[in-house]
Amino acid sequence: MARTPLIEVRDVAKTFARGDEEVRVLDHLSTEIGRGEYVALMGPSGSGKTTLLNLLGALDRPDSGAILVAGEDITTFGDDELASWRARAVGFIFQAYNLLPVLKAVENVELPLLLFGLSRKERRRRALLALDLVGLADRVDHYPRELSGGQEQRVAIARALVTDPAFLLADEPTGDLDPQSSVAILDLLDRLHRDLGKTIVMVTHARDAADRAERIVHLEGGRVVAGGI
Amino acid sequence: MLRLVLAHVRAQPLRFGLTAGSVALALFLYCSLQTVLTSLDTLVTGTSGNRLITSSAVSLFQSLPVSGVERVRTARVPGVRSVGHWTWFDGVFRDPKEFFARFAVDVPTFRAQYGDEAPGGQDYLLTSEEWDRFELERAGCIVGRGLAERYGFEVGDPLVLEGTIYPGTWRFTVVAIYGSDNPTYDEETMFFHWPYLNEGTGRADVCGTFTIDLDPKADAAAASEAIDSLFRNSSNRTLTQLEAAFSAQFLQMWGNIGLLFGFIGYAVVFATFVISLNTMLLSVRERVREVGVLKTLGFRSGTVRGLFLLEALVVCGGGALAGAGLARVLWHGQPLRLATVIFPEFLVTDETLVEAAVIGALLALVAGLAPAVVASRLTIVRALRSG
Repeated sequence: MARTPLIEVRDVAKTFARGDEEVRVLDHLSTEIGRGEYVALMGPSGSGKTTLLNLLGALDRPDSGAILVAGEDITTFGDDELASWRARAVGFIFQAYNLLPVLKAVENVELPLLLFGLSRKERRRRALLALDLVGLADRVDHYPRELSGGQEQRVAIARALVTDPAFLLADEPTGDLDPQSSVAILDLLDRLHRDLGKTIVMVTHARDAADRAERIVHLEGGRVVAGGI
Repeated sequence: MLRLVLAHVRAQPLRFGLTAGSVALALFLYCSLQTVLTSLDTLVTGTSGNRLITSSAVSLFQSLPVSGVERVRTARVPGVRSVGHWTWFDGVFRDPKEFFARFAVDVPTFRAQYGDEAPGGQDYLLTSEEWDRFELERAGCIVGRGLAERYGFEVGDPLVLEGTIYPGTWRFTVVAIYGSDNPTYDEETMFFHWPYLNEGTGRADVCGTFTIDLDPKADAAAASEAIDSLFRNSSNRTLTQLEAAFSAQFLQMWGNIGLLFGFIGYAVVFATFVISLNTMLLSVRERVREVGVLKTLGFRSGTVRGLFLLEALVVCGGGALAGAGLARVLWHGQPLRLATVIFPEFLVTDETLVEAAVIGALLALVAGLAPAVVASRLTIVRALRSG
């Protein structure tokens, strides 16, 4: 059964300058991602996977084309509007975790909630809930340097989840992890998708990781070559 | 937000501590220098508006014939209530470094002008019995409470000075210890009888200055002019002015101390600004990725800017608070000697503390602004790619 599209990418182009040369990273790409879908983006290096992910999360702007999320074209938003939208709508999971080293696990998870005008108590309650969900209830007061890579990534996932965003964007979430931790993280993403109905878009080079997704979109030369809608 | 800022400060205790320490030191110096200026000002503004001082028109160090006192008294200048005289003794007590002011005075008039018989109230506080004793004891002297505490003087103790301007060994007896609740009049001075000095110097009959008490309704300018006109055609021309103007003239001997102290204070603050700016720029450079993460999570550029400004404010403001607070705790209410000027009370005023707070805030703003703008302008993708 076809899902309602949550994200619609329409004819998006993006070019980067490399020295004097202009490199077209996304070449009038169009695709859709359904609400509650789990999609893996695959392709060789330079195929435009991460650029597409950045555009979906409004970390960057396309040169042309439109990106509709729940019917709203986010490419028309101003910088501040886009920042508020990111806080509300997207949860990011990075390959390098990107936790703030000076904050404890629970404080890292609370960080995005600072933008929601919640009381300190409520922020703490939600952060603890998120950490419990990823299985780190016993590591809340640990600093990132006191955690393993897998645990750091789980804190990052808790941080991505804590605002209950419309979708999660994961950029090589297991790229820096050993096989055992990778499996644990992929299991966790599976669970978020299956049990909580989260929409997940994941960039990966690993076939076994991509196989966890419902659909694999292959990119090459800035275009969708397989799996697109 | 503050928690995030404090977390960063805690994570780099040495760096932020040194920066805050340099701000504290700068503001401590600023407050101290400013306090000297305030105290100098108090010495002038706290003087009586009803008192004139007559000195030689040639130089402050030129003596006047003591006969001039009688000349002023008998001239019946309108508004003049009493005329006395003071003479700077100088001399050495134990060691040339052990400095305190010593004046020979015309004790009965001194009592009438500054003591229990003064119409405007006592500047030097003694009981009537103590004043009487001082008047009667020819080789007696009175010393301030500060001096008594410093040297352990007690009533009845001998006090010996070696003369410098007036050679010889001068022996006195402490007959009373005075206090003062007027910040202009210190508790670090010794007063003794002028006749005792005059006899010891072969009756030179000279003094340093005349002190003239005026009626509160008197025209001070007219009185000054009338007094100076008495000596205009003599070899001892005089300059008569209000006590405040006299004190100001005395302080001018220090040169333009205000400009010098101001320059030093601001130079130190500027040096601290450069240190703070460097710390903040380093802080941003090391946290480019963090800026990218914050923006990814939805923090606006303005919020990121505010975060770095807050950090600068915590470091510079904390330092400023510590520096100004230390100056207040160390100096406030304490007497301080600088060369020949004694500050009865070295006052770190609220105005000085407010100035220090404003400087601290400005320092934070200026040192934090450039790094904050740099941070807020970073694009997310570039920031996340940084090491």
